[in-house]
Amino acid sequence: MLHKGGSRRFAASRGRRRACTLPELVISLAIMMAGLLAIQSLMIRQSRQVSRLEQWCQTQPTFYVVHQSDAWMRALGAPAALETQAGQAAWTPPVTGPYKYSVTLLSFTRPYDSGQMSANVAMEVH
Amino acid sequence: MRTVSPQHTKGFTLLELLVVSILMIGLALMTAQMWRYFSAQAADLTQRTGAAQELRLVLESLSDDMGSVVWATPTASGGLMIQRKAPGGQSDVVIEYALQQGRLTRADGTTGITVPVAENVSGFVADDVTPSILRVTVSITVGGTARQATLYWSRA
Repeated sequence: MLHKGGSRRFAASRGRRRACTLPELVISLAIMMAGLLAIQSLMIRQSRQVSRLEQWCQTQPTFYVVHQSDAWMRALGAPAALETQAGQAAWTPPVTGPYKYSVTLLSFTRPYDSGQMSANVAMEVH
Repeated sequence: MRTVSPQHTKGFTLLELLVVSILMIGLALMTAQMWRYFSAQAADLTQRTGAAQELRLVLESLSDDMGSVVWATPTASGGLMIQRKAPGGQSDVVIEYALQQGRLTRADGTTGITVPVAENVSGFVADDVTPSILRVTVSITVGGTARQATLYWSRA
């Protein structure tokens, strides 16, 4: 009985002590580290993209519309250029400054089948 | 007696189950926190990109009409009226932009067709800064996110 009991205790203790070996532990830790590093790199990249997008969304852009001056481009219906800085193309020289007349468009009439338009304006001399 | 030993080594003990359960609960809590953080960010970004998309639609439409502009003037209601060359034709067309209940519409005077340009438009104001400069201010509000763009056009 002692021999049998001793062998049972030995088998039970062997069964309890049978956990993971050192290589298994190292491999599992390495896999966990790789996963954590991948998640960390994803989070860093996502944070950078979010901050960049937030910075872009917080701006209140100002555009200077430069219409097409070429007759062919106008006939083709090309869109206007949206410049981010004044002083380009049609914006040179600066158009701000003193002016001679202040013209206010009160009303206008233009038939769609005609190339002419009549307008009622008020002009004020400065 | 040998049949006892394999039965004894099979399965998990209560202590092992408790430890694993605690670890799993901790992991689930961490995942939930991360999920909530990323969900809030994703919702915020959805609003921001929605506003940017609507603003881009407005800018593209205005840019398209202003390319061959003959004249443009603010209307009495704060909208914008544009006379432009018709593409491929000699005649001109008159386009009117107006804000109607959060929707920016574009009405073609020649065809009589009115189409919506953008939704969630909280402001569309055209005014003359000087007699030679027209300013158009467009504001988009999606949820709690607002974006605004200003356009200047020189009649010179």
